[in-house]
Amino acid sequence: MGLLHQVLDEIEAATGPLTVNELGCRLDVDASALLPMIEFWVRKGRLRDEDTAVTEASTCATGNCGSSCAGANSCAYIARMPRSYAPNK
Amino acid sequence: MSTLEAACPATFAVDYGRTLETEIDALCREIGRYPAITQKYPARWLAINLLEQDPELQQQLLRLDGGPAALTHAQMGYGRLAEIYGEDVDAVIADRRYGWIHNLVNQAVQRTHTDRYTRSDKIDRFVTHRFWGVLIFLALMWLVFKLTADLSAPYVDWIDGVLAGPVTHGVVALLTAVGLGGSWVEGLLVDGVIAGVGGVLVFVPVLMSLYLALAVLEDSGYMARAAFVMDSLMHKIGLQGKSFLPLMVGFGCSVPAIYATRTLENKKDRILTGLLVPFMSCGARLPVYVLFAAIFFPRYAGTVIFGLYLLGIVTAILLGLILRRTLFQTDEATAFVMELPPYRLPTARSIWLHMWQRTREFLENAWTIILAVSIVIWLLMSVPVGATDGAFADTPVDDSAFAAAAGVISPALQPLGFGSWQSAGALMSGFVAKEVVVSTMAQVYGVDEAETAVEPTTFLEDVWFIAASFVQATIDSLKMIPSIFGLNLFPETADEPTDLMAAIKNGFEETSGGHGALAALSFMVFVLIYTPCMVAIAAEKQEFGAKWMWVSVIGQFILAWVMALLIFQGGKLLGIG
Repeated sequence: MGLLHQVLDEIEAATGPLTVNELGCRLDVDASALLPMIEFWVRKGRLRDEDTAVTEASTCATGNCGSSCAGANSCAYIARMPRSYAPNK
Repeated sequence: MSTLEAACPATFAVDYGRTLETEIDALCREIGRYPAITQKYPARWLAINLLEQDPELQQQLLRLDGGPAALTHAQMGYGRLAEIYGEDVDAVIADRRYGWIHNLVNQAVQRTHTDRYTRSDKIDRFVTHRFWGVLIFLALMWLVFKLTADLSAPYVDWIDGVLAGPVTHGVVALLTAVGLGGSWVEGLLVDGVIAGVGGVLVFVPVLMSLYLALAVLEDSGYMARAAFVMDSLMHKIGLQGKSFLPLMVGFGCSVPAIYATRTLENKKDRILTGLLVPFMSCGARLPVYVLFAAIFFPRYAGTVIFGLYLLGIVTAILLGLILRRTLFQTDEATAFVMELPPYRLPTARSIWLHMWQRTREFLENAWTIILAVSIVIWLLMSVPVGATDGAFADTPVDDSAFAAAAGVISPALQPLGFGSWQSAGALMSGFVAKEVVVSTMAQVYGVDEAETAVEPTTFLEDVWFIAASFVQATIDSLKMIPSIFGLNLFPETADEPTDLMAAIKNGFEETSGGHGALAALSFMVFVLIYTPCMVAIAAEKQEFGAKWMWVSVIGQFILAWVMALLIFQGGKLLGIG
């Protein structure tokens, strides 16, 4: 099994959240080198970019929740969370 | 030089393994037959990309002489490889490529421990630690609420003084000048608008302080770590880890937080998280805590507020655990990988923008929902009911329609220690929006003090008062900083409670039989737990359906009542307060 598959397997097999750095330590790969591999699995539909999901969810809420929220970009209350990737089931 | 070597010079090429290389070579040979293709693309590069099924390249190739034939050859090769590997060939090729790069880097680069770990990584070893990380998060949150409560207190007094002094004087003088002095219009503006909206506006410094602290934490990169740490914790106790995001958003406002539950794939997880979001204390509840903590727990205001936020989190966790093991059982535990940004020094501009955007949202609410509710409540307080001599806008507040309506539910609050029509009315109006609890309190308790004689002042005197009291507030605020860290460099001077604070204190002492502090705590917990606002209910209905909306609303009322009862009656039994 190659490195790319190891990245996917580690994420899918994890029992809790991981940081990219932790994943890098486990696989002995620099964190910056891991991100393109994670992005590859996002393109293949095996992982989900949660950041995009949050933006979509908040944007869907436009016009339905009063003045408090008019989409993720303009919603003052939405804290900027780190980008995360989860397995697509 | 053979034809293959000419077509596919591989002096420094990734080795894809025998099976793949055989197909690449075969495809290279086929491509090499067509000069129109080899003149435009390197054959090996093209062969690999065709096996990866690059759609753009496939389209371009169709236009070249020999392109369709090469493409057919590539499709056949792809089919054979897909059968051998049992998965997408592009994943196999990418895997080999990354493996080759990884080996090359390992052979060429030697990194020491110092090279491998940046300063951010070293800090993260503590900050994202499963145990220490939680403690660091709690300590920072305590500091945030302590700073919020203590540093903003002098500014709260300043705005209160400005509204009660120059602003009220100005409005009264203006109305008197146009012949409306002492009329119902004066009552509406002074007792309705200024008391109601102003009662909430005084807490703008508190919110600004909170948003300032949160902006610093966000921009420095710490909030990302906090989210990670809390997520790990939630995962450990059996909750869906990804619920952290909507719950974190809930500290700002419940409405976007309810919509943010859409990020969860499983419907059960979405509903469960949506039911827990309202227990995250939103910004609108903060003025209630600040007001009551300042009245009943002036020395420990920051700790009390922090405790309330913590109680909301603990309630959500416990309720989540119960619901997860009963109504919302799922086997699914989704893991994920999170990209933590490096720590940064926040810029003043970015912090200001964050703080201002959030405060502006609050102010917009103040001018819309709070103003509307304040006017409605003033109208209800102006309408006499029952056998009374009062007329419209000139009736004792105890005989008003608002007192009569609130009086219907106040007996249900008696066991909780705050069974007055004033508290019941504030909680009723708080159903619309939590900011309104404070404005209603300011209206229902402030009515009697409106009759206080006002010393006439000139415009210049008012301007001087505003400027001088602002400078004094800044000095007082700066003096508070050492005391937050336990250094009492300046002798503490007891703040004079305002008329509103004194009235609320007397009211709670009266309804609780002398256990005012306990009743206040019970009231704050009730405000924390019961329905956040009408808009949040609408969001719940839209996202989870009418059934879960009612479960949420009724459940929150019952839980709020039970928890407030336990605090008040339990505290009395234990002799606390």
